[in-house]
Amino acid sequence: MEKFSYDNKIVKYFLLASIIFGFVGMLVGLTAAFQLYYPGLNLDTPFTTFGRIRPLHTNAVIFAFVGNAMFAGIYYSLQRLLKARLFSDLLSWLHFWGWQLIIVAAAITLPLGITTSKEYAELEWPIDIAITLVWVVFGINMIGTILKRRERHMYVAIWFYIATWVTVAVLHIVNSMEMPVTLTKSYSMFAGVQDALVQWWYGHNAVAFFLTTPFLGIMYYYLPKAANRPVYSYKLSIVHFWSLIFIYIWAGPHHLLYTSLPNWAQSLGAVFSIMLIAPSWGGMLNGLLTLRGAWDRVREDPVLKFMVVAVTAYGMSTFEGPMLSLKNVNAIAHFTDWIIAHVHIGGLGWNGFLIFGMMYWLYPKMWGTKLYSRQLANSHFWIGTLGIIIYALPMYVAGVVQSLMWKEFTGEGTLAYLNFLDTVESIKPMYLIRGVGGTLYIIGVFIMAYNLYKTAKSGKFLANEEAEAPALERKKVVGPFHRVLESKPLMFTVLTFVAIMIGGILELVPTFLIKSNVPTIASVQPYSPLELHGRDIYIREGCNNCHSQMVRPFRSETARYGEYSKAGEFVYDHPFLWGSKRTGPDLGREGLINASAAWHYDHMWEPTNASPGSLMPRYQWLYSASIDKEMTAKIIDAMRKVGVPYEEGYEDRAVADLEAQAERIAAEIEESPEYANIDRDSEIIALIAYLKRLGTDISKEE
Amino acid sequence: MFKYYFERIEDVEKGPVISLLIFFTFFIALLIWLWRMDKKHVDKMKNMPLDNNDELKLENKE
Ligand code: HEC
Repeated sequence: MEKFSYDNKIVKYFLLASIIFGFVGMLVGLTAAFQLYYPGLNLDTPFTTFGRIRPLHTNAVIFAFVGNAMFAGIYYSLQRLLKARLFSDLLSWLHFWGWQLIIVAAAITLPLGITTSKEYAELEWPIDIAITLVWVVFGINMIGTILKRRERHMYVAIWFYIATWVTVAVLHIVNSMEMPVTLTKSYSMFAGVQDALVQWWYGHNAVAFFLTTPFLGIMYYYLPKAANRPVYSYKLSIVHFWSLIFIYIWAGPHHLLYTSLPNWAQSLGAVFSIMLIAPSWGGMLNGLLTLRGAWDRVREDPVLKFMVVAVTAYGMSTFEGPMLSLKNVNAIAHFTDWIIAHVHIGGLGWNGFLIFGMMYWLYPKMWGTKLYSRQLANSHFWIGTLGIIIYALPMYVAGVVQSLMWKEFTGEGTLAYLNFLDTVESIKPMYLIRGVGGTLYIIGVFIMAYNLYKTAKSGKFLANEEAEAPALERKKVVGPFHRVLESKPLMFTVLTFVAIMIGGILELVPTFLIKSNVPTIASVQPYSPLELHGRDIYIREGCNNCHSQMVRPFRSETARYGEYSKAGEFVYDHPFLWGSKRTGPDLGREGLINASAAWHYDHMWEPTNASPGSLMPRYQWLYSASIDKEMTAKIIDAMRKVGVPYEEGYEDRAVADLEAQAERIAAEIEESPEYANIDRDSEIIALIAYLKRLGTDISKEE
Repeated sequence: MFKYYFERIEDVEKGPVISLLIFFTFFIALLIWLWRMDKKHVDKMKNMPLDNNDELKLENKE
């Protein structure tokens, strides 16, 4: 027998970080939600406008709340399942502090508008590098622990942890390929359609391998623990695991249905998404059936209650996801609040509730005591559940109502709601109600924090938990393949890598390399220097969080926005800015729809002037800030490096071109009598230059 | 650049089909292995989270 101890302290710290950042992340989300009802809530400062704090919310809840809880859950169960202390205390703490540092960096840079604009990958390149390093530390620590284990076979939870580590590493690296311009600015290496494909391959699989697989592992450990009975079917868990990781990696293109992505890739995403129902539901059933015959306990025990709702929410969102990948459903749901509802069933229900269940189970264990109040935990459960329902239902209604309004035609064949704002007006009350749902959910978290604090107070924290187990003898495992595999962590890791790479390579590489996938359009030209500055401002302000730039080939969209978007129009878009949500109208053809510089000048200052009732924020700071003309040459140079064909030496002439274009636009605005003496260098002029350019190239074709 | 060598690959649609075949073969093999899996081993694996006799024997129920 060998004596050793389990490290509980690192688990405690990750749990604490999860609760604290969870709070912050959710409060930011709540603020963003209410801003869609009261735009003035951003206090007219740049740092708190919707376009900047929405990414702050998503990053905080995904990487800080869920991420920290995931590390806690993994580190606690990993040690026990392997009968070994974590590989290295030093690495554990490097992992912890490194991750918190990244979160703090995100919390500072995102409100400052330092962003790549790619969803859930908004952080700029130095932070991307830090993430990579911390992820490697996590990997070494985990694999190291596995290698020094005292248990020959790896329980299913651990495979999920390994798959998580391998895949997130690959996704993060590929999607973060970017060309630095300065320390706080970079451009994606990929452009347009390719960038979109890489981004949603990443985005979708971040959901799969950051929000799903680690939590399935956590489910496979903590649910049997809490119910005190083994998982329903071990064999099902094996099938579940391999099919899930094989199929998931293919489904990304379902985020890009009806866009300019080549058709074969769209169909591929849809087919694999439908197939995903099988392994997902396999996992859900395995979880729920573990509780068969123990339902009386579920009624009693808050831990199990949370877990049952979590697994049920998992089942719901993994059924809904494939349905949303059906083209005709997607045509209605995409770009609407339906998607917001969908992700919150997953986030609040599956991730949130599983984390709460796990916390209610871990605190008494690690502090050697009983839960302070079961009644409070039950109240949390009911308030939280109500919160999810009151959040999600209005968003489903809002999504469907708005989408149908977008698509409605009058008898004469014109759009029934030609004014986009009418469709926004009709769903505004829903925004208010979902804010109430979110508030309830946060109150629940607050109750939990108090309960856990009291629990910890009543016990004594066991930082190092003594344990003993016989050392692992070096002997060769023989027998059926999977049994051997369970004892060979490195081979297991390699196989997982192969499984996900097959999908990744076969899906991404063809779009990169085959020209026919992106037919070129001769009249599409690189952006002018002023437009590039404007585009950077668009990215900084996060306009893409409310505006799409992708006219889909539907009659209702071509009637509203003009000719549908073609793949060839985006070849110089580093990064792509198609967006995923239309809180405001599509801007893909803004240059054709609305070419008046004066209108934009007026609208950006006070959107309700031009559009009474608009919930778009005002952007008055753009009128006083100047663009940095020192940067122009660097921007051109970086763009050339990623493949945009500016001729050699153009950077020397760029500023002159820029000033000439700014002069034209300012003069155009000054034609209307209200305006005079407009600052040619102001940021708003650059932004207007970009808006006027959007979607116009195609009409220059002979 | 190297990428132009690949430009002439036709029938990109074949890629997914190949992958599907690989997955299918793997899946069938997996099912066969599972079917032949030793019952005792399955039981042992199943109970792995539970048989931590070294853990605190404290109830977290009221
Ligand atoms: C909170 C969501 C939101 C954000 C963020 C936002 N907008 Fe808007 N935008 C709207 C809404 C809603 C409308 C429709 C009502 C209106 O015209 O103001 C709109 C309308 C517009 C229009 C007029 C479109 C047309 O032709 O009718 C333009 C142009 C525009 N926005 C540009 C921007 C730019 C540029 C940014 C970033 C600096 C931005 N928006 C940020 C919500 C938003």
